[in-house]
Amino acid sequence: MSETIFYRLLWQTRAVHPGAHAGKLAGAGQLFQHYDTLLARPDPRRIDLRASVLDPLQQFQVRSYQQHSHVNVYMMADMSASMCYAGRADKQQVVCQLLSGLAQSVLGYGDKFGFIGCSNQVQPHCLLPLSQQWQRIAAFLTDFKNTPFIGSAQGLLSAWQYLSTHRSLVFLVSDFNFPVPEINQLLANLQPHQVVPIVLWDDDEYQNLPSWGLMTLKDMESGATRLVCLRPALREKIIAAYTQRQIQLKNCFRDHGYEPLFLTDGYNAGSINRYFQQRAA
Amino acid sequence: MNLAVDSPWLLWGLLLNGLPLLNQGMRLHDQPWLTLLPVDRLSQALSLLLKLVAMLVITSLILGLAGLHRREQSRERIGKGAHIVLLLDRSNSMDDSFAGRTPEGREESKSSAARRLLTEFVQHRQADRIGVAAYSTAPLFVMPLTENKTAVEAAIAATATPALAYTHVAKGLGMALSFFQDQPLTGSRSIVLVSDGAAAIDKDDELKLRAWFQQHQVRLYWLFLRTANSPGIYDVAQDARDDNAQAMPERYLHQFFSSLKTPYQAYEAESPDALKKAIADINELENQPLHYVERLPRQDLSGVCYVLATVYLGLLLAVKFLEVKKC
Repeated sequence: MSETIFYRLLWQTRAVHPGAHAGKLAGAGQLFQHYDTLLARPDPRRIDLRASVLDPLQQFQVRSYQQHSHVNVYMMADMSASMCYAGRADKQQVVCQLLSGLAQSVLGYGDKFGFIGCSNQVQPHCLLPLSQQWQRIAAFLTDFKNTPFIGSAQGLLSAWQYLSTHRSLVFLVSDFNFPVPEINQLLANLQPHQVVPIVLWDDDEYQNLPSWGLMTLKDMESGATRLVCLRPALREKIIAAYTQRQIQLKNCFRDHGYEPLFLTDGYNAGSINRYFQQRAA
Repeated sequence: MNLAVDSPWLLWGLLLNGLPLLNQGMRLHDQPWLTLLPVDRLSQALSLLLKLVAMLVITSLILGLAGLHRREQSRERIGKGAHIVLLLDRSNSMDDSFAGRTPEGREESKSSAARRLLTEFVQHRQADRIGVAAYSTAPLFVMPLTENKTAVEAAIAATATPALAYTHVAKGLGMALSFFQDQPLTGSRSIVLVSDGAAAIDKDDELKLRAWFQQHQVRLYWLFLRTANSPGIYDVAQDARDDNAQAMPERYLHQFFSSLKTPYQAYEAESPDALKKAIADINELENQPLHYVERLPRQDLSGVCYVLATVYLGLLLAVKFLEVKKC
C-alpha cells in the first residue's frame, strides 16, 4: 500500500452522491448553509425554533447543511515514446506508480477513478472508465504495465471527450515535450475541469550531463540524431534552456489557472501532497 | 593526373559512402525532445566533419583495394647537357695496367681507372641523358639513354666483371649509334669511346658508320688508353710495308674518324691523370641546351590510400575514445 495522496479541490462540487469533498448541495452535513421552509425541506428534525419565531412570514424554518459530495478523479497520461525515458527514474514506471497510488487514494476517499491513456490518439485499450472497484483497476494496472509507450502525444488533444461532463479533478501526466500552442489547446479543452499538470522530467536529461565528451543524442519520438560536443559552456547552455522551458511551461499553465507540479526525481507522493497543501483551499 | 585503377568493379564499393550518413557509428543516448537543446555550431561542424572523415576512410580503403595508381607519364624538360653514349671496350687488355701488366699492389687497371673517372663524370653531368654500351667480339647493350644517373652509375659499375675476348670496334660503334635512333634531335649528341686498342674496320662497315654518324649528327670522342710501348694513334709507320690497317689499326681508325663529317676529337691517355684531363675536356665541350622528354614510371598510390585510411581511422578512433560512455 503506497502513501495516500491527499488531494483537495479548489471548488465545491455539485455532485449528488455524498462524498469527502465540500459540495454545493444542501443535505446531511456539519456545516450550516442556510434556512429553508419546512415545505421546501420537509425535515422536522432540523426545525430551528428561534429562526421560525423570528420569521415575519410565520413559517417554520429548517436548517439545511452543506453536504459533502464525491468527485470524479481522472488521470490522463501521455503514452508517447518520449515517456519511455529512463534516467534516475523510469518515466513509464512513474506513470504506473502514479496510477496505482492515485487509484488507491481515490478509492480511499470514496471517489471514482478513471484513466485515459493517449499516444498518437486515445488508446482504446488504455481507457479505464470511472470505477470504484479495486479489482478492476488492479487488472487494468497489470495490463497497463505491459503496454509499450510509442508515438507522439497528439491523442491528449482529443482526450477531453472521454471525461465526465461534470467538473472533475484531472491529473494530467506528461513530460510536455511538445510545442506550447498544443499545450494551450490541450488546456483550453480541459478548461471545465480542475487540472493538476504533473510534469515528468528527469535530472539526467539535462542536469547530470558530463562536462566533457562527445555524445550522440537520439530523439525518442522522431528518431533524429544529433552529435553534441559537450563542454562546460554548452552544458550550462543546455541547463539554461531547460530552465527557460520550465519557466515557459509554468507561465503557460498559469495562464489557464493551473499550477504545474514538476516531478524530476521519480514518483513521490509526498511532493504531490505538498502541492495540494500549498495550493488547494 | 592520369589516375587509374586496377579493378574498376571494386569502385562500386564507393556506394558504401552513404553509410556514414545513415549511421554515425556512435552510442545513441535517448533524449526525450531534441528541440529543447540549444543549437551548437561546434557540434554541428564536428558532426559534419566526422561524417566526412568516415566517408574518406571508406573512399581511401576502396581506392586502395581497387589499386589506385598514376599511369606512366612523360614530362618535357629542358636542361643543359647532351646525349652521351659511353662505349666501353671490354677486351682482355683493358684489365691490364697502363704499363701493360696485370695490376699488382697499388696499380690500377685501365678499366677500373676508366670506371672510376667515368662515374665521376656522370655524377657531374646531372642534366645529361647518358647511355652505356660495351663491346668486345660482339656489342653489348647495357643501358639505353636515360636521365637516371643511378642506373648509369650501376651500369658503369657492372663493367667491373672480368673482361671478355677481343676488340670489334665497328659493331660497338653501330650499337652506340643505334641508341640515337628514334630520339629527338635536341642538344648535342656524342659517343665517348673508351678503348685501349683498335681494330680494322672493313669497307662495308665504314660506309654504314659514315652514313649513320652523319644521319644522327653524333660527335665522337675517343679516349685511347695507350699502353706503354704500344703504337699510338699519331704514330707514323717506319716502314711503308707496315703502313696498313692490319698492322697499325689505331692510326687507321683515327684516320677514319677524322674523315667523318661530324666533329671528332681523340685523346691519347697514357696514365689515369691524362684520362682525367681528357674527361674534363669533354665535360667542358658538351654543354648545350637540351630539350628532352622525361618518362615518369607508373606510381602505385594504393599505399598512400591505406596510409590516409589509417590516419582517418585513427582520428575516428580518437573520437570514439572521447565518446561519453555512461548509460
